[in-house]
Amino acid sequence: MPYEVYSGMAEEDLKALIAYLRTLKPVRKETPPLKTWIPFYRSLFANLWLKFFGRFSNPPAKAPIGGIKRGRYLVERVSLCGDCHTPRNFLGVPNRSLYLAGTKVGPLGDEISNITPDKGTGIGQWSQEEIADLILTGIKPNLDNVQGLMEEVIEGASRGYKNMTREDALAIAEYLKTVQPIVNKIN
Amino acid sequence: MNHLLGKRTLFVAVILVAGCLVFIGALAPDTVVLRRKLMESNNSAVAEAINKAIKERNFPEIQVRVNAVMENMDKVLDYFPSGSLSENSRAMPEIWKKWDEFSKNPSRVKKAAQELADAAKAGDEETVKVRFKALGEACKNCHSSFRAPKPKKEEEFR
Repeated sequence: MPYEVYSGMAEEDLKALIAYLRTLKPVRKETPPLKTWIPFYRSLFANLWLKFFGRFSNPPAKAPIGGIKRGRYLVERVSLCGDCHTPRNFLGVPNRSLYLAGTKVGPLGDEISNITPDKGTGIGQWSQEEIADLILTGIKPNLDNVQGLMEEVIEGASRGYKNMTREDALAIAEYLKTVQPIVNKIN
Repeated sequence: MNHLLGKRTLFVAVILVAGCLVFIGALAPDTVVLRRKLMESNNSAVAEAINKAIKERNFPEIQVRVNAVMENMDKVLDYFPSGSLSENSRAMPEIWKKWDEFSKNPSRVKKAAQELADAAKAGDEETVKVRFKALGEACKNCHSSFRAPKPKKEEEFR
């Protein structure tokens, strides 16, 4: 859980998120034990990792309300698109030179698409409307639909990206069109 | 005598059935290849062409392409013979477990395609866009229930 990245979320959004979490029904379920080969993971390694590689940032006084700034804020500090769509090294540190360029082996083993505006291997051929449609419905311009993790975040357990406003989805699309196009063929 | 004849008939019948099963088994990989071709090359490629035609406001082209989708939907169930599972296919066993439910999907897609064709024939751009999305929803309904996600690979450090 990349919780440190949420440090860049505007306070009003953070409060809204907490308020929503507090409306959920309590569910009794054991948390499965952590599976890792790294010794002293929680007590030592996780803290060191956060100290050296944690992506902490200062929250804006107010969340941007529209356009590319809003899109960037949503991508980087709320939806955390880069968390799945950017490949990581063996220590789990995102490779910023391949920001949003996808990976063949992403979280939970899913193949994650290149969402930079590269025309051959990314989503450079897609219009902003088409990107927004995918975020809201999971349907690609060729009428195929996403499955796996992306489908889960769109559909959600009760609410997901499908409940985002079209304005926000378009702001994300607008921002994605401005990032560096990277050639990285995934599928 | 009749008793022996009955046993022979039963034996021949068993051999024939077993032979048919082996034959169907041998055919299954080809069916999977053809099915993938139908879904990927034909439907996805056709959908891309329809999308392009919508952007170009080429309504006759939309109608032609949508007709191809409808023709595919008329024959798509033939590409799902019982148990045609393969490691090269993402078709889920639920297809055959819930065949009644699954088999209704092509007609739903065809209906959505027909409505798109009608809007294209009328030259109604806004309705065409709405119905193109509705066609996507019809495809998605079937994929979400009966097509497995892509196989996972071993996870990197997380």
